[in-house]
Amino acid sequence: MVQIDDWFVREVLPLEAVLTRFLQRNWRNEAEINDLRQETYARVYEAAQRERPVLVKPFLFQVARNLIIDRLRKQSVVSLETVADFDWLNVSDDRPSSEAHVAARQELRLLQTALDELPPRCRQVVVLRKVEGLSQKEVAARMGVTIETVENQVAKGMRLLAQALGGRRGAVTSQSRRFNFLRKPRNVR
Amino acid sequence: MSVDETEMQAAQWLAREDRGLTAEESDALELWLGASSLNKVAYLRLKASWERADRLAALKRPGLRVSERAPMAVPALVAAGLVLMLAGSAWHFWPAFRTTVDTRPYATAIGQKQEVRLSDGTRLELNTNTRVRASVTATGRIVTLDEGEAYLTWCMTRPALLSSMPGTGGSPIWAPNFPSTVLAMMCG
Repeated sequence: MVQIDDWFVREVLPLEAVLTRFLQRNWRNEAEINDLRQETYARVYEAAQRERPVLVKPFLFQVARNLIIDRLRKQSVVSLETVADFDWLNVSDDRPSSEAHVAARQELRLLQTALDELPPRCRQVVVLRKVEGLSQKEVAARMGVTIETVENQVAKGMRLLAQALGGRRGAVTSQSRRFNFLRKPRNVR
Repeated sequence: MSVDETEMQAAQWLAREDRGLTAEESDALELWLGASSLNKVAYLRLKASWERADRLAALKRPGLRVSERAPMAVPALVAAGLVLMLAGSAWHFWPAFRTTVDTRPYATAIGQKQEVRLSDGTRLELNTNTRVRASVTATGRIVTLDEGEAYLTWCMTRPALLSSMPGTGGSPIWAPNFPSTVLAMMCG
């Protein structure tokens, strides 16, 4: 793998849970969270191609912050001065990123939970592929379906697993705090 | 293009990759990845979690299911931690542990698994992307996990020395001779 890709996978992706929580706290439209997360990733990736940040986590949050400010500016719902008033820096989430180093056993349990939550057909494909170690072709033969079906289910399983592993579920508890900036009337024009 | 569509395309590419790409598809994938950083990060994100799922292979053996194995492995590791110092000195002063007969490396590639039987009957199961070194001595067996995940099963009366922290100078961990113990070693 290219060095930068390797860096991104090792240093940035493990922060997905905290990043998602941060975005959820500061952006009220849940439907746009994925969008903001991916845009943040893309900006970080591009910046890192020029220069690798030394402290990854603060940098990631800074990029997310800037992105939110850009979006707010475009929406022109909020004046720029008031942005500085936001709870940005109230990111008490900065405990040591245990998220980045989930113990291996927990990791397996996390994976198993994510696996169990897949829709039945998708789950069966993932189990045969990942647990039993069959190839896609063998999975198709075993289940009596076409290879295209298997491929589609693999694609689906991949997305669902990424979503589950990215900590979206754990982030639900911070839901109430997401409306932080709406509760501050002086911030909203 | 929406982020959702991008993610869907990334998943399709990875699913194709998972079954094997043709040369033509490889070229097309390179083009797609180069087209935008959004494509690139969507791809890397899904790929990383799909590779994480390789760990699920550990569920294959019945009896190694997480829920069943954990209660056994936790006390084993706690006990191992308690006697770490003891083992450290044993390592130092007990030549038998050091004059290992022959230390053999075993390794698996990504997606590969391997079962190894040491000469004293200890069974060693290597999960995907794992490197271990194992040796059998007059007084026990020494297994060092350098990377990945391995399961050790033994039912002998002799203890085993386990080491699973390559970054810490490899101080060995002593595992007591529980009868017929399965110990999970994981790294990283």
